[in-house]
Amino acid sequence: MCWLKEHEVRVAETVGSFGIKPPVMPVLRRFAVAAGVATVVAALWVGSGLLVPSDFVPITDRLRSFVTIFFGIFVEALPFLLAGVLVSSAIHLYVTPDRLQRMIPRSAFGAAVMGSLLGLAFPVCECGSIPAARRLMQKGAPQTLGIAFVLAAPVINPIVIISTSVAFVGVLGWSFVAWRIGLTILIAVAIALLLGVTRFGAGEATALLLSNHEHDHDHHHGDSDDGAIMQLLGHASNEFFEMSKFLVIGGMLAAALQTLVPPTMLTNLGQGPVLSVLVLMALAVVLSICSTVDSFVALSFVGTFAPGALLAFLVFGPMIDIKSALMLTTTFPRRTVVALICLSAGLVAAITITMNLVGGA
Amino acid sequence: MNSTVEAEQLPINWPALIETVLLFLTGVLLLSKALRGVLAFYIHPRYTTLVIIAAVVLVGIGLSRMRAVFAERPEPLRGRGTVYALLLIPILFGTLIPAQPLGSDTLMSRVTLGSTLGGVQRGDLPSDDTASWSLLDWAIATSTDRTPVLGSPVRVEGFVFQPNAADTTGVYVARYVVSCCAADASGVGLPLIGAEASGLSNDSWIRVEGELTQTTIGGTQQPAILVRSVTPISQPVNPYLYPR
Repeated sequence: MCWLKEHEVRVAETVGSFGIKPPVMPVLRRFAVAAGVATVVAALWVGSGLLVPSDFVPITDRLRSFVTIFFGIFVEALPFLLAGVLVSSAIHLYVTPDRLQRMIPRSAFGAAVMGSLLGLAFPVCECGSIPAARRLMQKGAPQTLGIAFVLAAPVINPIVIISTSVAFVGVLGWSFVAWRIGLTILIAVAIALLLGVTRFGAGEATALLLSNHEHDHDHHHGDSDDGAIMQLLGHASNEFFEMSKFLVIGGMLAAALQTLVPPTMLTNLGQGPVLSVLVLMALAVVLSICSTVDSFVALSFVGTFAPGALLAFLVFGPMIDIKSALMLTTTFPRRTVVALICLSAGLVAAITITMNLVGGA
Repeated sequence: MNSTVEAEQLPINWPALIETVLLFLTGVLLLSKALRGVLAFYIHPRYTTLVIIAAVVLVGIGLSRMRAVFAERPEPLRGRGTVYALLLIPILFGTLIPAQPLGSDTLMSRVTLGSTLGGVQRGDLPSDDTASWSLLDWAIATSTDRTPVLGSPVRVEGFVFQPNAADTTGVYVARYVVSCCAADASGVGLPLIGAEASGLSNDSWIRVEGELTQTTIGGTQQPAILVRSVTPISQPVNPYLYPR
């Protein structure tokens, strides 16, 4: 859990300057780090298969499967994360706060709708949408826009709309594709408005978190005589390190969950109109696959699960999974992240379960 | 950069140095995996180009970061240790643990035995020539009620899988189906019937020839291969099957 501590400490330091004592527990932290290092070293030794007693061979196999699944997620997500980091870097360099202010609608509703559709212009999936949203908000975009963008962009972008159509038009028809798009926009806008106007949005805390990061960013690079590409890459470095740590943690958690809790155990759990929705939402979180390809995975559930449950998988999965939930903590205060997760889970479940019940599936 | 000070006289900016090394190593690791052909163990081959581009971008970011290795005012290293340690993990995993595709040990958790191995698979069948069908094609045929007549020729490649569950016995020839990356892999396979099927060890790759028959597993009838011959083969370049 040391990454959370890490984050807590940094936030705490900022808060500390306002007179609140940071809750640091050095002994516990040192123990956690030592345990983490010991686990990794043990895993590396058993996984390497060098001088490992034959009793451990099944564990070696397990570990290698874990590493294969981890690399599957890590390698698959890395190009998309880098794309998001570069988009964010480009926004940093080329979009001035003035220009942004002029483009964004004044009303909260307008900003939320714009945020939910912005993915059509910046085609990023969940790994890329968070750095991009963070940068937009640093440039002065309202929180409603940021939240709507983070939730909707992984689905509302050309690549994902095409892949969904390719996968589903022949099986469940265009209406299913329209449902995925419509429901995503609806939920993203609803949550953005809800959080934007209530205290859960915590606008000041977000501003504090963002300005703290901004401070980190300005340590190196200010060489304005650099070429455009070097500038773009220079800004990307810090952002990459901040986001990729969550990719590593999220990837390892998802791989560990998959190795310990077999996916079939989940899919065997429930077929009813209610349970099937919950099961596929849990599966979406555990699998942590990119929204550009989740349609093809969902395709293998057609026939086993009701369309409402498939929709829950395809709408909730891109909004929240293990790695994106962790990444969100870089952009929003933890309170907002928790509210975001609960609200999107609740809304997706409520709507898709109703669909299943009304549809009689 | 301050042009009046030689870079070598400046103190080392440790965060920049460490980040440069991590970026280079991650990029090189991905490139070497692509060159050795083991990327196919992790992801669908259509993403290989994308990963190579990502590796080049990582090296590019590393290059731009390298210029800050000597700086007048070094950045503080405090508080960054965890991030660096975390990014070291994939590098260590990738270099010290031999790359291995998913095998029989995880298959048990990714299939539903009792019914057909592979659950529901969808898609078009390539042709009526069942001898050219892959294990995925057989799974598609059985889960969409297009199972051919008994006695149809079977010729498939896969690895040996012997479930160790209490209620299931027997030997399967199996294969993983991957639509994106190893995280979404699901297993497909057919049980082997006949004397040729005994004495095979888990995870060894085989080509099985025979004809379609039926067997009862977990109380339900399901298709199986009446084995005529089993030939050991080497692991294919692409160990997984991919939906069309």
